[in-house]
Amino acid sequence: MENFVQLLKELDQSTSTLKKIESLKAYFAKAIPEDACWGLYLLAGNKISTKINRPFLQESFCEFMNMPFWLFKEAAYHVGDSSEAMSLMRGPIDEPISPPPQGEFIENELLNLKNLTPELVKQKLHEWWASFDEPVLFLIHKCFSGNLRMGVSKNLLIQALAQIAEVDKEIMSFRLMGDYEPTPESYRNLMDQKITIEKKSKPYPYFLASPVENAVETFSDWEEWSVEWKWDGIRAQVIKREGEVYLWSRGEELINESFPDVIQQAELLPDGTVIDGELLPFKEGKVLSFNELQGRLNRKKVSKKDLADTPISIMAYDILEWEGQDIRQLPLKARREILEKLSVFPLSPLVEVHNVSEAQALHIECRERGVEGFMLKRWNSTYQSGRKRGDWWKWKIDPMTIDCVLLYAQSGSGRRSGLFTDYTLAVWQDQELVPITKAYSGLTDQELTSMDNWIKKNTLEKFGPVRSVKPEHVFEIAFEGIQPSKRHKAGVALRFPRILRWRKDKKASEADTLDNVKKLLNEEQP
Amino acid sequence: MELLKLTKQGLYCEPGDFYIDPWGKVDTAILTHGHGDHARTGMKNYIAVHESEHILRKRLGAVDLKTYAYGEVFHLGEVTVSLHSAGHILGSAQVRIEYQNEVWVFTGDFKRDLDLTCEPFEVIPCDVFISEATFSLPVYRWPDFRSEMKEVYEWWMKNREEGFNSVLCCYALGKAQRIIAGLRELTDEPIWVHGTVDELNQSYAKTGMTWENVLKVPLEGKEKIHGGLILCPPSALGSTWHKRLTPKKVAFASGWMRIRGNRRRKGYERGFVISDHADWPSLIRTVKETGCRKVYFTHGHTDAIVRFLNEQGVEAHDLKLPYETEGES
Repeated sequence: MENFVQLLKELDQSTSTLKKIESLKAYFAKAIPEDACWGLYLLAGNKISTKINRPFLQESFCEFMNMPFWLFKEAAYHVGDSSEAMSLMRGPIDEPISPPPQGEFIENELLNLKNLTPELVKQKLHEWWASFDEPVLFLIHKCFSGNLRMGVSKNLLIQALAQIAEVDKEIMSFRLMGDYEPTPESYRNLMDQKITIEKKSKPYPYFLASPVENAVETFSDWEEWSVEWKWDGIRAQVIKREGEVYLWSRGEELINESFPDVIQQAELLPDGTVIDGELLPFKEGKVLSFNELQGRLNRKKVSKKDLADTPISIMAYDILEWEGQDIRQLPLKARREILEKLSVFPLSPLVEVHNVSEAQALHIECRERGVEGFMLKRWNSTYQSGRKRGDWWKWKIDPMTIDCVLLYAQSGSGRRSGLFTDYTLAVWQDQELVPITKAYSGLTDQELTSMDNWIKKNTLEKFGPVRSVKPEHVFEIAFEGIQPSKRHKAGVALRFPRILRWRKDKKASEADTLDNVKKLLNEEQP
Repeated sequence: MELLKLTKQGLYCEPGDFYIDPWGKVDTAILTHGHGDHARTGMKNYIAVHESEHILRKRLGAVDLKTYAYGEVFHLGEVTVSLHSAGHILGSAQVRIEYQNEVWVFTGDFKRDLDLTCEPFEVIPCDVFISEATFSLPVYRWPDFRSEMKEVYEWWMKNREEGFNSVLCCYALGKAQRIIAGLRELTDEPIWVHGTVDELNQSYAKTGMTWENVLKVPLEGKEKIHGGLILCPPSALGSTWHKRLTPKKVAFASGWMRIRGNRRRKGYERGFVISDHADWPSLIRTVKETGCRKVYFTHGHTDAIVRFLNEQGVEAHDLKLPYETEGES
């Protein structure tokens, strides 16, 4: 466990991605598969199944510490992470015992907890709390809760593992899709340079489209592009191999149980077929809204009524495997031809457009059609993995958005009286912030309250009901249109502005510039 | 409260006609230590311990300051007063007040952990105890000072190996000197300091502390520092002063660094848990050791500790005083 604890320490201390990858590599290079399989499992955010629920753990801890539960809660709230709070409260001890090997401890001790009586479990916990060092306890607590993320994204993990195993990142991401079993064997397979046969259930990594920033620049020769509607459903891959059907969500979850209707249709596929498409509710040949689809999600048991009310199918738009062959290297044109021969699922129709303005004319209709915009795919593109810019684009009809800095606040009315909820927001011009719009709705009550507190503490000046505040907070503002305006200092007026999100991740200096905003003017009027 | 009263100017002792660490302009002020939120200008007479004289003179200038030895008994009005070591920084004192057979103790800021630059905390039995509570949640438990110093030293050496300077941000008064003294147990290497720290080091030197190979960061010639450790107040970050230390790694030494979220929010590459305040176990232990029948907590997460002690059968109250909590909020 020492290696892993060391890794967690390094991850905690590094602010750079590169450093994190180096630390991950050092760990995976050093750890034996018996330990590393669990390290990977935990870093991916999984928890060890112990049957110990949070209240039991916390109450046992309070008992061990001889501490009232309210005090525990207070401290945990202060820390914001109860696993960390528990190890901090136990605190440093003089002579901690060194931790046993990671895999051994998890398999012999943690996984065995579910066979013990609550009294014996408590005894074990007390034993650990009495003898391990703080960082080891932090790790044990995280095994129970399963949210050991430490700023390591899946992508980072894949990069590190791929580099250690000396395989392509794509292969590693393929191998890591679906259910990962924390066993030395599956870890060895994962890290094996040679193994090419993957389990028959495994999906391919998805090729993801990039958002279009400037349609005119991106699409010059329209003959090169396949244009489809951008469906508002759930991306999925359906696999038929050796007589079995597997339906995978984008979140790499096997979702066969939730969609028996889709599975039933997929039975008709020939063996050795993998289709990429969008799960959508269809009724009498028409696509229903996303809300209807949501009703079907996350249901382990699907009733007959569900099946009748909201039948689901897949709008197929690509084929990745045909007659048992991986055909992702074929150009889209050739793949589409194969796909068109299959008549199992509805085929995502092609939209006839020949230039940007034609597309834009349809663009406005998208909302009525219940689609989010367009997908543009280069006819000669291969099926790649992950988000690679260049060949696949999504052109959403989202409202336009800009990031603005809060400059003034005014107290609201009604339910929001007494709270500073009406904001004047600004963007940068040279070194100055220029007010560009006012916006009200969009924040949760909790966010409003916390902003209100902040505003009261950070007021620079008061003008009647209006306060100017330190330019610090950034909000993403959505709007439906933009027009030149002589009445506004910024020279533009936004239509239906509203707060979309509080961008806590951004500093004031990272907000948009007026120049950027004015570029939207040109896009608005082609 | 009886013997000490909270007034607009500060905590006031009526039968002795003096204030402790007042924030308004008053005639007589007893100062517990030299930090800015406790030692303010504008009082007619000041009283403190000998050890804090040079620190206070530096902050307050040529004021009327009378100093006493730790434990020396003196009289103010009708009360008997003595000052006792608080272990917070050099010259920090608790104020013991005795009047009509009742003893009150005001701690100022204090700690129970090792500090090579000042006298250790002294437990003074009392009836009423007025204590700071900066870190009054049970997650605040300090690691051993020497082992944390070792961590600092290892961080410094690793940065040097990778070609970086190590900038350690900390309070210029007290914490910086404590860290220098702690590191001197591990190494004779030069330690570089910001001008503010340097000036306070001089005040410590006048009180008998010796500094060897502790150097002020020069205006020119940053090559000399290469791979060195630099101590500076957090306020120096982002200033032009700071730029001459590039390439650098930046860490922060504070009790708040105990919590991961704080470390990440502050954006320091490293946090060292070094505090000059009492941690939770020390607070609880100290209250019990004084044998007091009543305790007041002045600043920090007072709600939790008040409730906790009340449940333990110790009469505890909240007394909010406007002192800072180690550079937070």
